[in-house]
Amino acid sequence: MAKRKKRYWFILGILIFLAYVFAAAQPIPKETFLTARWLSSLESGIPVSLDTYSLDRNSGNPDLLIPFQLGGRYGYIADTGEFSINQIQKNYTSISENFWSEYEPFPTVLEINDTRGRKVMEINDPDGYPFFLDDKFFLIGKGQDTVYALDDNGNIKWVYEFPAPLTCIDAAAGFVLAGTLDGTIELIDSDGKQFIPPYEPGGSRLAVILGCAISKDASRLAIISGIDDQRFLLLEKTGDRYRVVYHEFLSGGYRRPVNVFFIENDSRIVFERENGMGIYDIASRSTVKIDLDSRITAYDKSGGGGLFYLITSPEPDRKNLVAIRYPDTIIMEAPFRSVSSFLERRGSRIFIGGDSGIVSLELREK
Amino acid sequence: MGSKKAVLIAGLFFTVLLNLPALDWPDPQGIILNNFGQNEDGKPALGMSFSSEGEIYASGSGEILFHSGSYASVSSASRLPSPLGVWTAIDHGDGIISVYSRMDEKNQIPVNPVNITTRNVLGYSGLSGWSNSSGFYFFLYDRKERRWINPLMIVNPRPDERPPVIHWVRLRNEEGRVFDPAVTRTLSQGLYTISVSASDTMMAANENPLAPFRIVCSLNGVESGSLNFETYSARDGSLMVYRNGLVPTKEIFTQFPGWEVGTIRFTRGQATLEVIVQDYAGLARNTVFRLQIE
Repeated sequence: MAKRKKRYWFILGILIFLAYVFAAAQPIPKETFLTARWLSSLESGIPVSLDTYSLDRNSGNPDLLIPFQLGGRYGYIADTGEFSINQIQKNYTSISENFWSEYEPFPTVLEINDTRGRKVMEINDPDGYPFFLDDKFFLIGKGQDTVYALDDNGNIKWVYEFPAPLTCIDAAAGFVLAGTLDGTIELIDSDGKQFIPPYEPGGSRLAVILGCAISKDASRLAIISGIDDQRFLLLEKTGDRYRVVYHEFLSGGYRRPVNVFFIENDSRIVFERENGMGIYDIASRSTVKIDLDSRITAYDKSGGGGLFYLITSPEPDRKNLVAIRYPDTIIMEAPFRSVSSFLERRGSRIFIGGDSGIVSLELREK
Repeated sequence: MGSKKAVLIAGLFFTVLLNLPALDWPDPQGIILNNFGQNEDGKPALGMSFSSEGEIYASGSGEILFHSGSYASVSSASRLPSPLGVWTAIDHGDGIISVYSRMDEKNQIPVNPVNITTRNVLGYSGLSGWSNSSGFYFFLYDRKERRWINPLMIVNPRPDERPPVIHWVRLRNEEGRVFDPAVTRTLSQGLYTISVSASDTMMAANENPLAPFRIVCSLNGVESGSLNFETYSARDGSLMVYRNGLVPTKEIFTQFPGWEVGTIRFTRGQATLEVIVQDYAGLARNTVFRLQIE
């Protein structure tokens, strides 16, 4: 009898073991690692091959130009490590994927150029400073309360005078989203008309918009607003209206412009929050907080492949490259010495800048 | 009708005044370069620019609402270049926000602590943003009413002993022809737009010419146009100012360096056109034109 009982226990044990093996087992995750490709000096402008990487032009895309601002310089660097433009910043600059402009504080003329340095347009006696969003040209008026949309020839398409100074802006799919000092967001359509009535997130002791972002198809708006408590909000478009689908009070908060942007094909939103950052997952309608012990100085604004990169600054002359696997695992930290920093990513290629140069890394898995 | 309007405007003015906290100037020694309402190439100034060298003080007690210290490049967070340069906004309660901008970039003051008392140093005069000389740009914003307020209405008064000066008055008929009523004394009947160019100095004639506080036009003793530089607000993407009601500023600031003060319908006979320009201290100057209308 006791022998039979023992056998039953033995069989049950084997069954539990098998069930555990089949039900709980997970495949071994792929190992992700970075290989160095090249280093390009800001001073000499000449790329140097790193590791076993070949600087053969076929191994990089010469048409993939990355805008950079680093160590008092700005310009565009190609995927091959060669600079298309690399010049010392003497005045104010506005630079985007496709256009750039360097201008006087009190400009009498604005020259807009492309990534190869060819003049695209010239604007005489401008009423503000240029900026480029959604592959379009804009000016922000000298009082920081007026936006001018320009056509491809530099003529004014529309002017929108906001009811308060602007604290943030973003544009996508022909829409312009702007946040104001008095805590309101406005969404302007491609004709320069109000698309929805001004929206005040409210809910905080002091109203102010600290950051705003619009998804590529303009279906979602992300906002950081208010002081005591600061809030993260997500609005989604339903018909012609936007409604709040998620909000979260953030502990602490900032009184300065705050980074907020969509990543990974608009499936997640990254935002600054005190002592770290938040990543909101649109599918699961949830946020995670990632604790970081120092200020973030640069972000990977694409965030694809399940990974997100950023650079923190533990000390003014020390930086730390951090890789995060979604949802919230820091999988790598790589410290380096630099006062300034720069980070851009195009797919599996990562471009990291320090004071003297830019390094290209390739993200690989095995 | 005219006196009713005057009472209404005065009532509005005092209502605004009584509800606003008294504030001090950010730099009492700063020289005013231009002021609220000034016609800047066809657009209104919504604040006051100062030529200054030293500290910039908080106008009153309050709490730091916003500080932006990045200006030379487009900020990664705001995605905006910064014509306001290095700027700080203080919430004083009662809806009033004061903004100190175009401050020196190299001598920025940390935003901690966030609670500010009157005369706390917020930054230093300098060059950042849309500026070409050392100084700063100061403005007041009323978040309750969503409008910019003329600082001269609520900041402790500066000495002002000089009345404004009227430089010219022009009349434009419906065909677009412009007349100087000081020269052309005979006009055809019809609707005319009145433009006035005027400026104000406070203590000496060689000071920077500033915008006056109010311009009033009357025809045969009846007020027909009144432009007040008290507040500006934006509605549906257009900046508005009070001229016999809210009107877009682009209708007022068309004729640089003057302002379109209103429209007048002249009918046949004698007409007396009076233009009165007043500064914020209440000092006024007028000019009268006796016209023959045919």
